[in-house]
Amino acid sequence: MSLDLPYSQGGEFVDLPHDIRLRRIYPEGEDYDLSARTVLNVGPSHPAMHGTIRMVVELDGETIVGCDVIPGYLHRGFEKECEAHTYHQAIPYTDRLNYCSPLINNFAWVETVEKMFGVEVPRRTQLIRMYLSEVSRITDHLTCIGAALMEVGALTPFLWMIEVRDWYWEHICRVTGARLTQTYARIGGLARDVTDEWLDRCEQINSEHLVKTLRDVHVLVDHNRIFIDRMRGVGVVSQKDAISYGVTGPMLRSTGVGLDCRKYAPYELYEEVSFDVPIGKYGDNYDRYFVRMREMEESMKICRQLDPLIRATNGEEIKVDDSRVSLPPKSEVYSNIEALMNHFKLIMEGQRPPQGECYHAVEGGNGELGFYIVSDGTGRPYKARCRPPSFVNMGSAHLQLLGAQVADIVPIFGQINMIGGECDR
Amino acid sequence: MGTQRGKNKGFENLVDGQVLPQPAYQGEFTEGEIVQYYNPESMTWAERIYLPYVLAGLGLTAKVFLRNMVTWFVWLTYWVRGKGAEAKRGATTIYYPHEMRPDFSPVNRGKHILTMRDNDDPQCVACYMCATACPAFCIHIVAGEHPDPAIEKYPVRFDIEIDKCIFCGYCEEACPVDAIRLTTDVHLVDYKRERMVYDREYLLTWKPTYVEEEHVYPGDRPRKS
Repeated sequence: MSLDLPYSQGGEFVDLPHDIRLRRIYPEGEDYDLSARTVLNVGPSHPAMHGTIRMVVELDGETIVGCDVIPGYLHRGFEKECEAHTYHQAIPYTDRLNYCSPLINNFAWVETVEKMFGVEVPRRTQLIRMYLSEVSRITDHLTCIGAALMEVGALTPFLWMIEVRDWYWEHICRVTGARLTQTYARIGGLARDVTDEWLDRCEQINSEHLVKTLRDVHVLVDHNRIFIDRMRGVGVVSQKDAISYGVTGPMLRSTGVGLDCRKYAPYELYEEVSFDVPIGKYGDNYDRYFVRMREMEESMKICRQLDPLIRATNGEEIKVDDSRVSLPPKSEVYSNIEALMNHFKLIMEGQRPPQGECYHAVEGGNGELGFYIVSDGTGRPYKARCRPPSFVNMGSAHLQLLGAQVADIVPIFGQINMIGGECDR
Repeated sequence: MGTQRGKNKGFENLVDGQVLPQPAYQGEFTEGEIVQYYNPESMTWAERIYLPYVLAGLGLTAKVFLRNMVTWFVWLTYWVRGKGAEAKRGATTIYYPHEMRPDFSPVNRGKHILTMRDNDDPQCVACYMCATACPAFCIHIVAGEHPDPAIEKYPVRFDIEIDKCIFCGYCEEACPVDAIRLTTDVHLVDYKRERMVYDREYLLTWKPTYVEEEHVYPGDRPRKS
């Protein structure tokens, strides 16, 4: 039954009834009584499990000695649904993958399709996409840290962070048209242009509200021993494990690996901005908290660098001038038969990228978010695949859970930041 | 067989309950500015005895509480003069639905509306573009022949299943004659599921309540005397 693979260190597999495949570790001593163990079912209705994941844990007293993580309660068939929709129609679906940072998902999808077409979007579009991606990253980390702190008992930071996030969301709504299901990206461009006033207000939220909130949260929890005891040394993943399990994002960086898609495989114009990649040292929950907090500051730094660049390109096109890809402007559609025909063809048949396959990855809130698309030359993807960071990060959950205490389940799960929509797709 | 308790994979660098630092990864992708950021492994004496930082946190929350309280009292002095809306409030919450948040987006995508021609006929020419573009397949159109040969087609029925709608705005984008628009209205509730299907007459005639745009935000509302 035992697997001698390098990644099976988290115990051996034991099949229990009801399709539960436990990873079990054994304590020292041969006269150990297995019947003294308790099997506890956590979720999917447990409030900390988001209603979307179930964990079966085997307990020896308070210590977790066996676990089975069962995701899939929010499976919606995103990848299969994409095959029945045009590339354009799939954009709203990507909103619902990681609903804490929908814009990053939007942009990742359209950039993959643009890569298949081989078109390069205008500079202004790329700058706005970067700006909104960073704002989305901030909202993602605000949600994650706020919720994770609330789950270990600190309700005040949650309220403060969600308040700031709400201002971001309502402000994002002023350019995208929706708070959460934004559907803002278009293949070859954007749905709407941003204004200088919009950038002003965004900078105001950054400099007034976010900075203060981050400072206050640092004051509240950083040195609080209750918090330290709950977080430090809990949920440790070693560097080697993190790499071999494909863990990405803040979780990987907390172990000391400075791997960031924006740095090692720059997309859009990330080469033009300078920012740091914060990394941790111990790979525990405490480092993950710090990495996320620092990343918000770095995102703010990127926003400030992008601000003058976007203003410098005021009035430029935000859609690529390619009739295969972007819809003609409405003034043309109302007056011009060629544009009208182009409009009808693009809506009815969709954008038709050349045959082939393509993978494009961006740095999402939780790690490397990639889309792999196979095109057969029609307007609908032959196959679409999403590389969800949370799902891969959840693969390392047993490493953190086994040997931990029951009370550690919630902080560990909170810092993995599994988003049901993304993990289960 | 299985690994030993407390020495399994995730805990190989956890010796006697103490976390050991991990070696810095020497990979080829670690270029760029990488800043190691962590808190010292051992707690200071101030952290160890709980109280100083607990009190610091309490002080912060007390400060915020007092600040909000004072702001409310200042607001009260405005309110008794009937100028409550002008002063800054101590909380960001609003009395929904009696008031809308001041930064409510003027481009929010909400309930649909069908535009009319000058003679109250629908602008729609029943080209099915919106129904084709809709990712949720919630628009259903039945086309009829219009007496005016210049218009050719018009919608005999135009139903939107508003409970299926995801408010992506694709119908608005796809329409070639500006016949369907999304208003900012967000109040979409009903007790009957049947009434969540909006028909042509309703979409043509319901009156949207537009929100005026103003660049004032709840946290930093200017105080006027």
